[in-house]
Formats: sequence, C-alpha cells, structure tokens
Amino acid sequence: MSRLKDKDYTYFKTVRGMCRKCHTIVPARVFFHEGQVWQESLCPTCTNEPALIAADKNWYLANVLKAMPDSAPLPGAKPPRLGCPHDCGPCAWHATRCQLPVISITNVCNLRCPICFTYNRPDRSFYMPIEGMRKTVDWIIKSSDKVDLINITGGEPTLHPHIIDILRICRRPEIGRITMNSNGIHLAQNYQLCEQLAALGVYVILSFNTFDSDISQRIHGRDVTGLKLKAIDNLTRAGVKMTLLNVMIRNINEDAISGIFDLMRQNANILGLTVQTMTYTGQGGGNFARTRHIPVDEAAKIACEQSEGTLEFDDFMTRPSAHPLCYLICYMLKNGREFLPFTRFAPREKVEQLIHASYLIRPSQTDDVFKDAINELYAEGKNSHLGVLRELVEKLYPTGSTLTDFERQRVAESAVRTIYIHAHMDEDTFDCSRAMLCPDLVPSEPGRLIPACTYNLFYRLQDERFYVKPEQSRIAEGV
Amino acid sequence: MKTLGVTQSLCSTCRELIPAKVITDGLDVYFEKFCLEHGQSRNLVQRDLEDYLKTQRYIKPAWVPNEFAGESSVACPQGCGFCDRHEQHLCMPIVEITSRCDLTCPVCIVDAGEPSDMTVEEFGNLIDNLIRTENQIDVLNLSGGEPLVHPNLLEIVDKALSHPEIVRVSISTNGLALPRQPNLLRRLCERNVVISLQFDGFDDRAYEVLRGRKLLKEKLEILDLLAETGISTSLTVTTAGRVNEGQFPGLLEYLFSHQHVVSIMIQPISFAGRGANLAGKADRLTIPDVKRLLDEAGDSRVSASDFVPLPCSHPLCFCLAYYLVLDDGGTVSLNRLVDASKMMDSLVNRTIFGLDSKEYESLKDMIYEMWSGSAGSAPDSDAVMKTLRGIMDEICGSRFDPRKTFTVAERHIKSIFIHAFQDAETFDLSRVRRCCQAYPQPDGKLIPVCVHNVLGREKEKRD
Repeated sequence: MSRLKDKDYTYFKTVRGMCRKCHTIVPARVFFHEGQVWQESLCPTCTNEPALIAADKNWYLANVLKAMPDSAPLPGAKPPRLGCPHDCGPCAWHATRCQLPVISITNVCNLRCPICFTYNRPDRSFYMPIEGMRKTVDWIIKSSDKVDLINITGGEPTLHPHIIDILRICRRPEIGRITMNSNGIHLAQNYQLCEQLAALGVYVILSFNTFDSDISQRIHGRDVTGLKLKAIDNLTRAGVKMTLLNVMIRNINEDAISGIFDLMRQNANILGLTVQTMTYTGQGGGNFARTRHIPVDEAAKIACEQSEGTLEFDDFMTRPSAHPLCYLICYMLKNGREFLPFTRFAPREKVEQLIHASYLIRPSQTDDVFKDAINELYAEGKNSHLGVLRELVEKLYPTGSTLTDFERQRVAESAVRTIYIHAHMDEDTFDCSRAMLCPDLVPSEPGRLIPACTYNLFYRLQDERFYVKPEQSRIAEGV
Repeated sequence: MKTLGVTQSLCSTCRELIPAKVITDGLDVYFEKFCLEHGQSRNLVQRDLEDYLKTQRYIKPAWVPNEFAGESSVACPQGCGFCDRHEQHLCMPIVEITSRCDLTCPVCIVDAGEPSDMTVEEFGNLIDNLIRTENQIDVLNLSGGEPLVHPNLLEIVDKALSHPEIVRVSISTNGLALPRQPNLLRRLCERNVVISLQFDGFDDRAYEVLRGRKLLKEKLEILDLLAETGISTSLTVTTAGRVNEGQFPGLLEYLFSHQHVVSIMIQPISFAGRGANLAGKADRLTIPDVKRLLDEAGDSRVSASDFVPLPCSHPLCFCLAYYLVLDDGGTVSLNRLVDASKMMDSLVNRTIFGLDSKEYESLKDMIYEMWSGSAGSAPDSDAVMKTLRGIMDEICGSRFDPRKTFTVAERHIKSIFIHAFQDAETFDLSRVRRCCQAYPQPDGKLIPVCVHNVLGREKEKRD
C-alpha cells in the first residue's frame, strides 16, 4: 500500500479574490511554496495563474496573523448589501479612515505607457470641472475632517487646462499637503508651471522608472529619460519638493533604485521614494507581458541591496493602519548626504507611534521620539548625527512658541527622507481583506470614497468619464 | 474592535454563501455578516484571539487523493466531492449505513429523513471506491442514524475488514442496542472493532437536554458491558455550555482508569441539523474553552498545554493530546516529552498516531533522541524509557504492519481529541476547503462533514 503523494504546496487559507478573466469574485487560495507565499484565484469557469504575494513566509505569518486597528464604521458609511467589494463608498465594514484621497482630474495623457494600470477612455476627453472639484474637496473634508495629504492624479494632471485653479481649491487649512502626480514631460517643457506649483506649495510625485533609454521605450512607449531629468531640474530650480515614484518590474528595472538613491542624496528637494510594485491591470498593465509579481517584502529587500549599506530589511515597517501586503515604510534621518534609518535610533514602537494613522510623520507636541533619540545616539557614541537631530528638535519645539501639526510636519520633512513600498492589487492579487483596510480612497463622485484598488479594478470600469466598454467604443469609433 | 480580514461564511437563516468580516475585541473572535435578505448579524467564532492566531501556524502540505469525484466547475462548496481544488485527502470516512435511529436527539446534526438502510452491496462499492481514492483507510467509521440497528451490520463490518487496506473499523453508536443483544457486542469484539460510544457525562440532565430523555442508567450499564468485554472504546462527548461542561473530571478519570478506553472525543455542540433549533448559542463552547475546562478539571495528568492543533485537518477544526501510559500505570503527555515542533513533524496527514511507516520511523527517531539525552531531565524518565523500549520491541519484531502497530499503540497511548464542527454561524470556507473528514456517498462523492451537515442535508430536505 503506497501512501498518497504530498501536494507541492502548503495550504494556508482562502480569501475573497477575483478572476482575472471573468472579473467575478471567487475564492482564492493562499499557499506556501518553497518559503514563499502565493495566491491563486479559483474561478469555477476560468483558469488563473498563481501570483506571488510575499517572498518570505515567516515575514508574512508574523505580519498577517495579527489583528489590525478597525475604525469602522466611517462617518457616512452605508450598510453592506451586495458584499465586499460591491458596496464601496465606503460601506460600514471599511476599517481604515481616509488618509490619502486620490482624485483623478483628467483622463488625458501625453504618454501611452504599456505599464499603465488605470483605464482611460481614448475617445473622449474628461477634465474635472472647477465646480466638481470644489464639491469633491468639500466632501472629503466633511467626511474626513482633516487630511494630511490630498493627491491629484490623472491621466496626466498637468494637461488639465485649469490645473492651477484645481490645485488652488485644495489649499485649505484642513489639508496638510497637496501632492500631484506627473510623468514630468510637461514640467520639463514648462518652467513657468513649476514656479506656479512652487508658489502653491504643491509637491510633485514624479514618476521615475529608469535611467535606461531602451527600458524607457519598453515601459513608457518612448524614451523619456532625458525629459525626466529635465523635469527634476526645473522643479528643483523652482523650489518644488518631490517624491520619485518608481514602478518596479521584475527582470526589467529593479536596478534603477541605486541611481534614485544617488539623486536623493544629491538633491535636497527630493523628499522620498515610493516604489510601486508592478500590477498587471488596466489598459496597459493588463496586457503587459507578465513576469512574477514583486511583493512588498521583496521590493524592500531589493531597495536595501542598492542602498550601499544604508538600509536593512528590518528598517522597514508595516503601516499600522493598512494591510501589511500593501505598504512598507522606512523613515530615514537626513544628515547631509547620509541617511540614518529611524529604527537605528528609536524603538520600533516609537516609530510606529510617529506614523500611526498617516503617511507623514507627525511629531506631536508631546512626542519624545527625537529627544530620546539624541540620548540614544549619544550613548552609542554615534555623534555624527547628533547635530542634525538637535537642530531638528530645536526647530520642532521652539522655545516660547508651539507649532501646529502641519507646521511641525513641514519642519520634520526637511530632515527626514521616506521610502514607501506600495503594492497595488491586480486581478491576481485582489483580496477583500486588503481592500477593507485601504487608506487611499478615491472620491469617485460626491458622497462616495472608494478604496483605490477596488476603484481601479471594479468601479473605474463603471465610470463613464474613464471607461467605455469595448463594444461601445467600437460603435463610437464607427467600427 | 479590531479586524482580522474577510472570509466566506453563510447566512444563518437562508444559508447563502456571504462574506463575513472577521473581527475581534482583543479577546475573542467574531464574524460579522450581512445578508441582503436577512440583514446584519454578529456571532462568536472562537474564544481566545491568541490561540486563534497561533493555531493557524500549524500547517503541513496535504496529500493528494488518487481520484476526484467532485466538480471544480461548480462554485465551492456546491461541487464538493472532493474536487481537485480541495486542500486535503480524506483522513476519516464516516459511512452512514442507515438513517434509522432508536433515539430522537434534539442535538442531532443529522436529522435524517425517510428511514433507509445501505445495502451490503452498496457498502462494498463505496469502500472499493474509497480504497481506489485513498490507498489506505486508517479508520473506517460506521455511523448513521444508529448503525447497530442495521440488519446486516456484521456483514458490513466483515466486508470492510476483508480489505487489508482498511486498518480498523469503528462504530459510532448510542449503545442502546448492546444490552439487548449481548452476542452482537461479543462479535464486534472478535472483529477488533472500536466502539465510539456517545457518552455525554455522568449527569442525567445532559441527556435530557441533548438526547431528549434520561439515559444515564442505560449508559452506565453499557459502559459496564464494554468494560466486561474489554472492547476498545472511545467516549464521544457532545459538550454544551451550562449543560455538561462540568463533566470533565469524571470523564478523564474514566479514560485513565480503564485500559479498554483508548480515547475521548470531545465535540463542542454544533448548531446544525436538528441542533440548529437548540437554545444555547450564547453559551457556545469553542476549542480553547474545552482546553480550559480540561485544564481546570483538576486532573494532574492533563493540562491545556498538552494539546496541539491537528495540522492535517484545518488547524482551527481539530486539536489533540496524546498520553503515554507507562508500565507502572502512570501517564505522560507526549507533548511534554518531546519538543512540540518535533511532535508536529511526526504527525502526518492522519488523526491516529504512528500508523504510517514514515511516521513510525520518525517516532523511532524521537525515542532514540530521548534516549540519548534530553529525556534525562524529563519526569519519570526511567519509566518512560522502559515503556518505550517495550513498545519498540513489540512493534519491531517483523516488517511494518499497520494493524499490529495500531493495536500496540492503542494499549500504550490514550488520546483526547477536540473536534469543533461548524454550523451556519461559524462556517468558514477557508476551513471547509481543508476538511479531511467526509461522508462518502453512494454516488462516489465524498462530502466534507460540515458542508454536508450545514448545507447538504438541508438541501436534501428542501428538494
């Protein structure tokens, strides 16, 4: 009697996932194979390929087997009806407050990137009307009270004919920072716009994926490497603060990080790097030749390898108010051209407190993280960074006056550099548990805030501004 | 509240598959559900958040059955049987040979419809199919209804035992037929059958609530009969909060003081089948509750830390403790003797310990290792070693023989199992997809126990 064969994987759990082909919600198995964590949608009618969701099983278990803070129900949430993710708006199950409203103000773009993960209908241009923008911002403030950040995106937002008016609407005391995504092409060609952005205090999230012309051709459809560097020059000269946004794709551009670190060391206007791991969805990404997904833990390790010894994996932390498979963060103290990860001078719990429910560190009047760190560094004889910290503490807590939260945030950012690792979900990796904890909400229409990936995978396809069903598109084009 | 994510459960009213948000107050774990028709509900899933999280780490690769009778082209769990997407092989088949019963227990998860008996021929086909699918069946469980009222019970047992691939047959019974038929018990004993006696404790109130009438006097008589014949006996206890949760001291004492009693199977009440209408959902007991009750039973031989989740089932469904019975009559928890992780490694995809030649090898390794050092500091190490050496001598005689190993192991190892069946409230697709206990159907399908009890039987009745 021979015994049965072992399965070549270890089953862990079943989540609510989706089918890549028919887009219905289906069970998905999460399993371990050779120390890695995979997710595979089990559609009754279609076949789906497994996708890598964590490179290290032990890291995954340590972070997934824990209870996450739950702020449900959010103000104005509706009761669930059809079941996650079909009640978004958010529904009463949504567990995380809106920390980053993401507003798409146009579908127009001057690139056709084969890696683009959004849907943007090509047959009709949409520009967010000024009045619509005002209503949207009012709604965000009404539902979320105060937000640290607001993000304006597209298409390519700089192509909106009234971009400055749109951005001006976001200048509200309840909003800490305005960020605008851009591919940089228009910014490279229009210095005046950069100056206007500087005057408005807008931060630019500049997509920056490669230094290599061939790779640029492959992922952007044309060589934009020169334009990107020119955009950085213009923004720097105008005094605009930037975050570089890197879409990391396996076997294509993982090696760009070290060059980006160099830029960060050289250019004081670059406040951080966001690595978004490649998601194979949307008009571009959905058709892009799939290589294995890069999960957040692996992306962090890739960044560490290119940091010339500055970073170790343990310097990264999950966000207390987002799913661990979605975000990792590392904060670093900037001392000239050197970076020192926070975790080297402050206990992890303290750093976690500092970021508790936000993207930006927000040292409160009572926080003693930096003050403690001075003692810590002194005790360890790491005197080289003491000066920077002392200066920071003096600016954060000036004698005789108290800064507001947002002011303190702006002071901190001058001395802090941030690395976010962010994995969006696509059809292969969608998991309602992640969507339910999403802090990045899209105000698709006044009165609704939809988690970014759910919006991208389900709701944008119902949004006539951005999507036209292929059969309708053919009719529109007279085919 | 904090959250642990989203899974798939059922509406308690209409049994539609709906999403459930898994939430916790930091102490216990709950499902929050919303059914379009029946609105919002919240129910306890498991006590003890820490236990819930830790338990889920106990996992191993599954085995792949040789054949699949289910259909993966039908939405899970409707196509069950198993399909090729199921996450485990069938560890313990429960064959319902009759739907007739001489009791009408309010707690019955079966709530059978028209009385009917499986024919010997049907049974034969069914086990042929099982053997083709599984190669070896460690324990084939005969159930019902009440299997003892089946007119051809012995033929069925013989049919099963005519296959060397079936190591052991057990019969789940209320036992009431045994005093009436003294020959039947003797014949079952000759066939080395294990009697899994439904026994809810030594307090008649439990029988009134769970079984519908006083039964203690008859149950004690049955216990004596079983003891007289010395037939291998397992006590199956349905545990309900505020009903018989105080019965563990007596049950443990009975287990350890009777050589023929090899195990206790504790099943916290599941509100499925006829039991769906029972009161007491608010007093739901879960695995950590049972471990605590056992710990507090005041028996120095048993503590909560003796238990490990069974990694071949879904770890949230089943946990167990093994006790080595020493030659001098003492007992030692295996988990206290060997490193828990080693014990996990040595448990293969089976509920019964030591039945697999590979498992047997690792058991041997474990014993040699204890021999060579670490056990020196264990309590009663001399007695332990002496006993283990005895067991090895008995088993090692010739080539590996599962039936022989089973019998030897049974004499020296006592087990306490806790099996948490799901009902509509606690149903979790994540667990069901890993289920290793099933009801083989005449059409060749193997329906996971909780799928059948919560969804299948209901459907049968509706159709």
